[in-house]
Amino acid sequence: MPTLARYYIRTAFVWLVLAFAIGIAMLTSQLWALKTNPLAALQIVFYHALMVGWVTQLIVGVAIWLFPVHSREQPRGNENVAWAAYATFNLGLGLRSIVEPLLQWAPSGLVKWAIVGAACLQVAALWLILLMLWPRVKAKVSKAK
Amino acid sequence: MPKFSLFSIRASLLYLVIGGSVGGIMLVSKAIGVWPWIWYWRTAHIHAMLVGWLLNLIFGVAFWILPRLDAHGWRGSPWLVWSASGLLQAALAVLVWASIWPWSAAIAIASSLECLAAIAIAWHCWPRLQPLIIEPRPAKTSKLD
Repeated sequence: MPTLARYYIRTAFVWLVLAFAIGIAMLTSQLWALKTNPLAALQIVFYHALMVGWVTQLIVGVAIWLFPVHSREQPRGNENVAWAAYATFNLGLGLRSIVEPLLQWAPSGLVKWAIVGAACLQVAALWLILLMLWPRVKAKVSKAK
Repeated sequence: MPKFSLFSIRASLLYLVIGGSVGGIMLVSKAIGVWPWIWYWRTAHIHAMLVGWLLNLIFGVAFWILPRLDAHGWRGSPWLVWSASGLLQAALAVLVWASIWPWSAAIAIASSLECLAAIAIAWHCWPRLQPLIIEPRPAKTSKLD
């Protein structure tokens, strides 16, 4: 398995564990019988950790590993794009997971602009993933001359 | 990769970036209060990611990679998978349309189309979910014989 795919898949597992930890915290907090549950702000983080951090990142990792190779010289295409996608994807999701609940708990100008930054990183990551995988969705493996 | 898989996987990548970009705009709107109309697109965002991205990808990869039906590599008649894909794209089109011009029957119509798509893909995949059947090749005759 290529190093890139291992990084994507291992990080996906980290997000799976984080998502379940958040889920457990949210469920446990319901036992406190508070009027307003502060951990309800984590619900959106839970969904995105599970569906983006875990499911999407796992799929991209497996696609990097198993999709038809780009060329013999560059089997996975331009790896710089793939690493940039990995960094922006996880930085964006990580930052969002921290600052989005803060919008409810302690809103400030810095928090708002951090959310804008997280959104930009996440959207950039998706376009980089498209750029990385699109050329590998093809009919036949190209062979070097 | 067969033609249907090329179409379906490429469509899934487009849904990933378009659905994700809408999600990014929603996140920016949540933080700094701009473009409030984007929240009408919430249902379309969720469906683009869960149905457009995940189901299109699953349909494409399943058609490509599930065990073939015979030793010649026959994957079964492709009309069922094309129908499933058509129904899925129609469901998503209905949802996007209803996000812009609210329409009370949209969710019921889109869900029914998605249900029909699920039946069509299950119908196609069912006979392919079997142990790999490889007919033995005729024994090679040695050059020395």
